[in-house]
Amino acid sequence: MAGPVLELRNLTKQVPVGGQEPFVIFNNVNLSVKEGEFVSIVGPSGCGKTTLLRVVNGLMPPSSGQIFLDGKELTGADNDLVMGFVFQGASLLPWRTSLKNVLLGLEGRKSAKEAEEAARHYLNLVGLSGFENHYPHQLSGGMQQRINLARALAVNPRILLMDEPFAALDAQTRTFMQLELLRIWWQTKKTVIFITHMISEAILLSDRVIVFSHRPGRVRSEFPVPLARPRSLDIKSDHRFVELENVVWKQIEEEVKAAGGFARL
Amino acid sequence: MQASYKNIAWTMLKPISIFSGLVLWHALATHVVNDATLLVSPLVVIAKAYEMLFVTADLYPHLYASSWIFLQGMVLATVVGVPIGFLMALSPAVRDYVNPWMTALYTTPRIAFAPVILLWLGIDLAAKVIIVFLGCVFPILINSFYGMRVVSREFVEVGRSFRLSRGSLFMKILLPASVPFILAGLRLAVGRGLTGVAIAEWFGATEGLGYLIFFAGQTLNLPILFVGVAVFAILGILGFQLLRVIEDLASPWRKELLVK
Amino acid sequence: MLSKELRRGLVSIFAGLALWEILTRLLLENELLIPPPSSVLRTLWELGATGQLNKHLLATLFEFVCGFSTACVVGILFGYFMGRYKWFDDVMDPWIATLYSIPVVAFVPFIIIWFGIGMVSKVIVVFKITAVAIMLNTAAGIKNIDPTWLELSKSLRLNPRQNTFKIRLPAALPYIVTGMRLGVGRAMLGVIVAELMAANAGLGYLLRDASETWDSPKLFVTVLLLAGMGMGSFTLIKKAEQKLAPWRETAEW
Repeated sequence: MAGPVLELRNLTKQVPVGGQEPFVIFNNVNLSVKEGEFVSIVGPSGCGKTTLLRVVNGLMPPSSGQIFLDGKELTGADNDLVMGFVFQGASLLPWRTSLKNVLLGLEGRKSAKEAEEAARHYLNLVGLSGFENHYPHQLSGGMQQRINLARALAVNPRILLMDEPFAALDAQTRTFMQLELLRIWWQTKKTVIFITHMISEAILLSDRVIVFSHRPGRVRSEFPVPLARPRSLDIKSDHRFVELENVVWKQIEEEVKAAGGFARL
Repeated sequence: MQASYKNIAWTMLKPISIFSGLVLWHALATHVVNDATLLVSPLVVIAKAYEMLFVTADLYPHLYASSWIFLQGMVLATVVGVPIGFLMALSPAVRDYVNPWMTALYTTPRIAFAPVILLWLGIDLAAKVIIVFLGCVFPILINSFYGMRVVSREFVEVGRSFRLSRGSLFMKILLPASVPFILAGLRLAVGRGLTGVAIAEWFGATEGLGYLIFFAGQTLNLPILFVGVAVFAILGILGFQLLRVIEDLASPWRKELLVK
Repeated sequence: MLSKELRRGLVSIFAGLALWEILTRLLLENELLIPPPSSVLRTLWELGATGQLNKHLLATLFEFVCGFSTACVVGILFGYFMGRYKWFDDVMDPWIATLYSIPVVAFVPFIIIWFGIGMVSKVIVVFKITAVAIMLNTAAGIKNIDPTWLELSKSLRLNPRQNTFKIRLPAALPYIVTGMRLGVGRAMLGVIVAELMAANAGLGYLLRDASETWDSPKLFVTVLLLAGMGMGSFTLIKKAEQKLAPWRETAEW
């Protein structure tokens, strides 16, 4: 079996606080992700999940520890777009149309024709062909997140980093988007690291669920998801799904209590 | 430690910029231009200001005359602007009928009206006050309009659900809630009002800061010109900051309601 | 079919003009105080026919366009660097803030002393007013950029040039246009003041000429032209604002 595509070793991030002990966001995180695997990270609020994802993407440097891609250490910001980042807010540029937003990462890397073909392909994949010339303010929250996803996919990254992409959506839209993501993942077979607060979302989507401790965050435990693919909403009533959800919830509850209780959330 | 040295260097940048600018100005005035009808050193300006403030004290009559016109114009603008703004916000018909005239008056450079007003009213206090009034009425009116519109959209339903009468809805909810907007309008009006003062006093006056500036400009008396301009700038900054403080006190729950 | 709003506006304007015409004809014996709209129109026609109008209008427009266009370039450039680099902002800020807080009318005498009564001094007045407004607004726009857009830029590994031209400048564009809108009004005032004070052409000169010769129809024509210029430039900028940033609600005035 092939080695992991992405491996984090003793990854630590702290920020200096004037004259005091540095503020540790996450500490000694070890994680390895296989090619084509869908991994979710859940954990109490403020445990540093989001910061971890940013460090992995090179948006901020780690304080110590290493990141390996195919067994080779990544130094500085890699320039060949191995990873695509799906932001929590759709963060679309309001002055660009849907198509132009998806094109953003391709401009200057591909010929104009190839770039546009790719962008149209991914808009189609996320179900938005016909909306090429709409501006973000003309689209619903769910549609904006679809474009956000298409934009990250368009540069054809090997790894997709998703930072609570559905957090701002209403419950119904969120469920539809989860199903859409299952379909798109099934079609593209990307390696995904998915951050979420919602345990059921993590189990529904992933091959493996990682539970983070309270701050300073580290990997507390991990659970493989023993459910066959392709999946549908029916698996939410599968007893294995329900059991796993309970176990993970217990752990998060413990972490929240250790951090000072629910009232501090 | 190194970081804190760097911090000191950063905070020093502004004073250094001001100081070196002043030195450059001085050098330019005394060594390069060397002509008192074109440029004078900042030292000369400071000496002149000191003289006008503490020795001859001849700045005060001008300051007093200008402040008086300014205050009257501002009060008149508030008394007229706020009700019209409210009416326009509460009645679409009033807004539609008044709107074209207001846009025309608002976008025309104000100075165009000065000769007309002087033609009608002659060179006296009323004409000057009207010119200042025209300068500051629009920011006040427009901000009152926006404020009342936002507030009425937000709170009219609340008022209905509590079965408030129209009068008490206005007095208890709409009026207090739109005060911060009105104050923001007043703040914007300060600068425009001061410009109005300068215009009014230029066209016909024998005293006032505007008169001082134009007289100094005509006679190429640069020290007085600089002092006059500086007093205007200081008045503008003081008025703006004063209203900002009042705003913060009057509406601690809201920031930045400025409609530009 | 016209909208209700527009119809009421037109009714209001025509009713106002008619009232003005009737009152001035009935109540006033001479046209010194308020000439009726008809004689204002006649004077406008006469001034146009003799070419006087063209000369003054073009002079003012020329001064305005020269000053405004250079101010846009310089203002955006300096504003961008003020927004990007704190040290540059610190160095510039005291001077820009001082320039900004001096009333338009108060510094015009300086410009005339230094640059004479010709067109150059008016171009500089327009330039100074607009450049400062655009500079401050551009800097604010660059500083207030949504930080996730910068993360996005980094995540997509955009190069510095793309980062500037595809993310930062477009993000600041609405601010830049607001700066232009604020600048236009003040600059118009500035150029008229400068022409009034000392000039031999331009609408400000015409205004002074009319008021010194007690020629009220001519005075009203000038006021009308200035109103037209003010409203025209204002509408233009507002249109530009809506076109450049359709996702933002723009102010009505």
